[in-house]
Amino acid sequence: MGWRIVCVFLVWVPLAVYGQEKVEREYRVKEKEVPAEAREWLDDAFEGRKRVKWFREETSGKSSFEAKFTWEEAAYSVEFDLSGSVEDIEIQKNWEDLSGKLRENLGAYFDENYSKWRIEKIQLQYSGSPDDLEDFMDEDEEEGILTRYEIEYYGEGGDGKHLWEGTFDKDGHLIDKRVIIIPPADNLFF
Amino acid sequence: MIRIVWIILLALPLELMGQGRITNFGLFPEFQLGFSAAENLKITGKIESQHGLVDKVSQERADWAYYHNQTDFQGFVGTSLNPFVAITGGYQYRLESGSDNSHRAIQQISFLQRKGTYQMGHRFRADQTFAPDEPVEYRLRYQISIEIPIEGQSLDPGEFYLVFSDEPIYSIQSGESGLENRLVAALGHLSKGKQKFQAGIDYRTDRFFDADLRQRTWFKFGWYLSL
Repeated sequence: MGWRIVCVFLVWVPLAVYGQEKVEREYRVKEKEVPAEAREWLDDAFEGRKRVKWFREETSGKSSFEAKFTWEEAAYSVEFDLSGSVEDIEIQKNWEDLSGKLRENLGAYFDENYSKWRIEKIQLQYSGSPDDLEDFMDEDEEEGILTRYEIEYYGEGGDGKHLWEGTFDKDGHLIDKRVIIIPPADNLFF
Repeated sequence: MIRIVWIILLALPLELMGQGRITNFGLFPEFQLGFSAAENLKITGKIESQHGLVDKVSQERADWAYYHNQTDFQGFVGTSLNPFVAITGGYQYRLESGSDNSHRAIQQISFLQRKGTYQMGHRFRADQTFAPDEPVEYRLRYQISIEIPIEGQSLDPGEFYLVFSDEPIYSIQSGESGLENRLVAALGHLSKGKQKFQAGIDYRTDRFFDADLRQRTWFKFGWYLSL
């Protein structure tokens, strides 16, 4: 009898849990699975780049392709929609790479809102229409380009101790932020 | 770092296989359930059970026979100091074949480190075991673990990962010291709904200070559920 209860529990709990959460995932894909338009755009915009790793991203019902590679000693990530049109370009930055004014504004925001904070990751993000992004890459033409910073940071403040992802404008003013939920790691500790 | 883990993983069992005097193999299922009981108060329950299939002593023939080795029931109450550090206290009741059942008190502090594409765990644990007619056994343990996604750059629901861990354990019981090492290599899957499944090898060596070094290998498979 006891075993029957255990078996019913073993079968039902995973099924019940399975229905609950929205899927957000990113996984590796082969280059040939990526639309030719995306590959060609990348070849034109980043001549002489090293090997590209392609990923497919599915977030809140939206799917995209993402190319990650190193170019001129910086880590790049370029996002395309499923038809192969470019959507944005992200470049990983160090705190020291940012301008003095930007660091001052960001530092003022963190100091004001957190008693203790630590930057984990900074990404400079350029977004715009495919044509505008191409002009921006070829000729540094900034018209139609939206520049933002996505910053992952740990902060202790009035709203608790959390890992955050904040979006800041090009001058370092906060646009929005969300708490990053760290996936369960109990399997490592018990 | 990964290179070091591989060296430990590949070299240690090979060296020890050569000297092993007492060896066994068995099945080691475990089930774990964690949930928040209040703000910043986490309860974790765990059942783990060892079932031996074969024993071998020195040059003798392998003795194939099923036996229940032990089953542990564990309960933990923990609080997080921040998203990366947690302090936990726990209790274990052990059903052991051939010995008296025992009680154990457990204290631990754990640290989670998020690296670019993988995460590492550090667990410092102390425990005290109480069994009838036996002096109290005190142990100090440190476990390092690494979890590496194998599809993509971060571990997302629906994806597989590898997990490796090593844990040296120092014990002392009425003045007598002991040392044990536990090495685990497993393949895991993060499923929807914050649950993980893992299956792999748990390789334990102890009695380093005795003439008869013992090595125990378990096929460990577990279901880890967070609500």
